[in-house]
Amino acid sequence: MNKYRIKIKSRMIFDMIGAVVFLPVAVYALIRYWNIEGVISGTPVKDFFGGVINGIRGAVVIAFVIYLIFAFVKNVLAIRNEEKLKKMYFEEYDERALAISEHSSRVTYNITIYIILVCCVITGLYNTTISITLLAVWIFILLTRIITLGYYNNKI
Amino acid sequence: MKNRIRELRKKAKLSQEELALAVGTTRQTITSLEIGKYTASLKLAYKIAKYFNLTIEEVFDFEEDMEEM
Repeated sequence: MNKYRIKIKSRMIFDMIGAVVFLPVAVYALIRYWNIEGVISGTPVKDFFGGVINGIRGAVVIAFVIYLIFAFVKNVLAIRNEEKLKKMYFEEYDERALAISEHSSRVTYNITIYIILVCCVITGLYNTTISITLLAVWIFILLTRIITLGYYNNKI
Repeated sequence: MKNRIRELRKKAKLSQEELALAVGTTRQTITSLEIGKYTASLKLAYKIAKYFNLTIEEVFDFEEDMEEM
């Protein structure tokens, strides 16, 4: 359990650093992308899709900071309570949860690889750029799979 | 895979949560094991058997799985 305690402490440091670094970015995103200035001054968003993209940009950064703060608090509470720490360790290394994750990843991979290939062929009929982008993504996923398979074949 | 976990746990008057904490797993895993949806790894099977002071064969029924092969 001591090794896990050290791991949690290092995670806490990363969470803290991440939250401190990204908090100003989140505030900036809130003002800039979520158009707080515009809301206050009453300036409407002219471009709808631009607004959507800005909304996503802001949401990603803000959600990331909230996640870091949440993880930090969770780890602080766990490190102070031996029972909680033990439970957290069991949950994290539970073999059934790991098996579920592995099965899920495998199914997701199989579905993704076929869907992307089908989309690549279909989009190739009317838009070359999208088709080539999808092909590049497909090759990247496939290469990653081959490399990780080789790695784990030697490791396990 | 059939096993005697539920029977042994009830005999020892333990909750699923208590057994899970004792063998280093989660309540959900104990539930899945008891209803036969999940097959324990050798390590977990050993821990469970050891907890009840029994051998793995006395807790888990491997015969049925071997017949299916």
